[in-house]
Amino acid sequence: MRSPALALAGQVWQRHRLGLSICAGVWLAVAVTALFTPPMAWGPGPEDGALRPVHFLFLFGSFIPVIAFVICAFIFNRDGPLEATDSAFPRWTFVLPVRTPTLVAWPMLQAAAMTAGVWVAWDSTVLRPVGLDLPLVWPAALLAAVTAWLQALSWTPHPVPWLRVLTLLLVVAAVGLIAAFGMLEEIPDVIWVTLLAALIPLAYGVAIVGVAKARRGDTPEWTWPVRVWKVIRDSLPRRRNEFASPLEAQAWFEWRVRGIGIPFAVAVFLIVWVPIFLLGPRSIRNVASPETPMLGAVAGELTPPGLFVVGVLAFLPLYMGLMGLDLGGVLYKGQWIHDARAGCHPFVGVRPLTDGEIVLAKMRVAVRCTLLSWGLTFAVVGPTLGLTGAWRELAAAPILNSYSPWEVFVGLAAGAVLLIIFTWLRLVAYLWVGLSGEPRLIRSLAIIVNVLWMPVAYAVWWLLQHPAGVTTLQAFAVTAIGVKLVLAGILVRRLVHRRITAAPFAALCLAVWVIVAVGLITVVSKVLPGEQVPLFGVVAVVILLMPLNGLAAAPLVLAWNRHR
Amino acid sequence: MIADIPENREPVVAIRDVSRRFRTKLALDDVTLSVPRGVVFGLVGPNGSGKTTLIKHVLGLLRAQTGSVRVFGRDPVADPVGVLSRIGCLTEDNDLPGWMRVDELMRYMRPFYPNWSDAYAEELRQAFGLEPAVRIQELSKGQRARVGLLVALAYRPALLVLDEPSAGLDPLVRRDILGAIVRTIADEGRTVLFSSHLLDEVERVADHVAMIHRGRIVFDAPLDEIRATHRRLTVRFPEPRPRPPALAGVLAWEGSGREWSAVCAADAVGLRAAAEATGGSVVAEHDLGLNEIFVARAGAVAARAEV
Amino acid sequence: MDIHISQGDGVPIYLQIVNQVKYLVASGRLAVGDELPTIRALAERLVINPNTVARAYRELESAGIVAARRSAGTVVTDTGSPLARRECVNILTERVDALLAEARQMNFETEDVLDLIRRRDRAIRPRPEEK
Repeated sequence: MRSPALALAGQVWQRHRLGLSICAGVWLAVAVTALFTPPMAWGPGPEDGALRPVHFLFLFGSFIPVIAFVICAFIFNRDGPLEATDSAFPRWTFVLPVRTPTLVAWPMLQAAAMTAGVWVAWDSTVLRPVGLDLPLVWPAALLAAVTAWLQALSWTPHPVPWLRVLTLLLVVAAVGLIAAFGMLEEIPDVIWVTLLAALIPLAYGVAIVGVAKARRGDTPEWTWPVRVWKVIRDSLPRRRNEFASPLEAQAWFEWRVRGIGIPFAVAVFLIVWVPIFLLGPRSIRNVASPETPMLGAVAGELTPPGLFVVGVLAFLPLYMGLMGLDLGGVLYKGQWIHDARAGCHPFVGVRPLTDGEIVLAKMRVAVRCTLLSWGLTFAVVGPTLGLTGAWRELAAAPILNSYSPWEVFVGLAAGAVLLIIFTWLRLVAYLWVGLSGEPRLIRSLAIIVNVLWMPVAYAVWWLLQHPAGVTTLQAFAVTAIGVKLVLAGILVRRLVHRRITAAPFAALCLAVWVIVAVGLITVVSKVLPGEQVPLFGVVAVVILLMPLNGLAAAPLVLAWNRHR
Repeated sequence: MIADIPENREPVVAIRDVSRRFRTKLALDDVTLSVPRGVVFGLVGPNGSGKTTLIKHVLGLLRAQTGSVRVFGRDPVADPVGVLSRIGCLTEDNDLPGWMRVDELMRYMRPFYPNWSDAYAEELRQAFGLEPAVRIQELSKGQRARVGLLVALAYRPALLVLDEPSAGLDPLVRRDILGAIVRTIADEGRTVLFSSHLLDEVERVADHVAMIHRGRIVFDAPLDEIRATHRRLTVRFPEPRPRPPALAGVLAWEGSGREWSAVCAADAVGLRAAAEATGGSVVAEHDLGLNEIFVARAGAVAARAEV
Repeated sequence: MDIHISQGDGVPIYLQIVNQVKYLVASGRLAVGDELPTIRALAERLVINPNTVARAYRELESAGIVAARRSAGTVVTDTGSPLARRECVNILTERVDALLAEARQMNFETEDVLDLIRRRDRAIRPRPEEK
């Protein structure tokens, strides 16, 4: 007879077979690519074999979603929202004839082994062959310790809702700091491993106590924070005006259901990103030296302030593309990525609104989300750069020497506006996915947006190295642009024919799109050095990345979903 | 009260030759149904017979794969605003957003319906005993049903659609729902379409009843006519019979030994004669309640399907 | 007006209303000139379809027990008296039929039933009459 403990051990693998197989597939693909890439020397120059940031991005970047998935799989966060007070440990196991220490030991051991193993596998088969000599042992130990602590905290009942989010964030932030610290100082492996290994039994102890409490039903509850919060919430300015139109009412609804999460996530990102900048090395020149080639390779020409700014600017539009998947959702119960049901929720479906109006309401919410997110970003980044004096370093960048202060200012302002509009476009680009109400489509696109852009970027970069590759890329880009424009024409014609949009309005939208595209092309080509980046490349990238068909398809997809 | 009502002779809901297939399952099989104006139309049928599918077609949540659906003379899929702004609906799941407060829900619903009356909504809220500042997820199931009823009634819809509204609710809430149906129908020109398992309730308030079983309409007639045509005849035989005689027109036989009861759907007189021809004598003839008619009919369809 | 609906007898609802109104009129609890509730009010109180109430009122009107006045609603008419007597006889006949059927089933003779009735009448009589 199989012991319950063993059955429990296999539980995680059973539940997440698809996800774990995809992770294994990703690892295989990356390892094979690494096999065929010759080992590269470290160096900032463009000679053969030089490690470029893009390598680092691809090889290391594919590691991050995999390890994130593995950790999430072992935390059991699917069994309940993490912000609740209850333990995330599966309830049904509490009635098994297994003692709590055994119950807890299996998932913890497996998680520790898996996370450490993933790092070891990545380092030895992907990074080492390519020449990235990152340490093997202590990151594995660090990952194992972190996972153990994340598990322990998730499984402990917390007295107040949302407190767990705070504690988990603290753990993650601590990890970031320790990792940065470890990379900069050269501490012998032995000390690392002992320190981190000591953390794991501690986590195990905390987990046992926590799960035992959950098993007994002995969850502490502080009612006073909830009461205080209720008083605050009820006294906050509440919308008391009537809604002027159905569109406004629906926009309010979409904002409350899905819109609030987006600026919140941006805030969380800033909370993590800004301290890393503040506590990290002030100037790359102090740190980048022949002894730390890795940092030099990653940073390239950028200074820390530049890295900081680029990180923020790159994060927002990329992340918004992902959030658009959620914003478009028409199933408002449950987590969007776990929704098993297909279709449109009747509460939305029965509203006397046309399909176009529902999409418009979501687009209005997208505007609010974009403005709030960027407002937050500027409000945080500006003072950070100003107060730390880092703006001086940015202003001293060689690229700005050829422009007058007035031109720089106008360029920055125009760039900011274009960036905001571009972010909004990325946010609404994937509305059609959520509107389709097909959970499999949503999930697969989330994976694609998260993961697959890296190998594509790598392939593009690799092709750019060879002249034959360049011509193939050009041909491919031209076909892609052609297909995109033809498809756009078909969709817009369909929209006007079905009377979802009026023809003048459609013409206006297209005109705006063209203006924004031209604006972006001008700004980007002015900023990037012309010899290295051809105009055609900029045009192709901008046109292909600017969302057009997603927007046009949204009302049509909603019509299909809403009236199945 | 209600703007631009089409001519009074037109049915409010006209479903013609609608079939619906979900992968392999045939949920609706060539259904034709007409809901006249100003009636309470009851839709009854066993679980999984297609009631909810039919109602979803009326609301425009499902597109007719064959045939046509017209509500107020318009297609609910092509004209959601025109149709849905005149329909109030309450479904079995009653999925209202839990995070909303009652007053927020009322404020949210208001701009969608031109006939929304704040005074009436407030009157209903007080009559149902709903506190405005309470979140819907903190309410009991019965109170949640009352909230759903409130936002369905507050704009006095021309058509009230209820899909198993009383499922799992206590008698007080069920009374509120029935009361709402009666008040709706008491206003000129308004119609109610509701599906239910609770045949007692259907018998109380319905003018017109249609039964659907395995996707087909079994009967569709005014309630008085249904009650008049279905009768139970008790036949007494001189010697005990192990099996009742096979007579045409009998929906279900019941009994044992000497006395057998037959439920018939039409032509009780002819059946009487046929029964007497087999040697029995008809000792009693009864009216039937809707419950018994339903059970007899459902059994008859099942028996026919097995043959 | 004290009217109750009970489902499950198989008796149609409108007929229950008709019978109960007739009984109330016959027993004097509804006097001549008394106004019946409006169709809508009675339908809302009993939670039944107004058409059912309307049908009951129509039956009562064609039986001559009530009359629909333009502005005063539906009132009990005074042509009820001979009808009342007839109604009373009908109601009592029903009761007697039921009593006799039960007695027969229990193997009581009709004479025994009559004796019982007389005995009970004597036992009840000393109490003050309700009429």
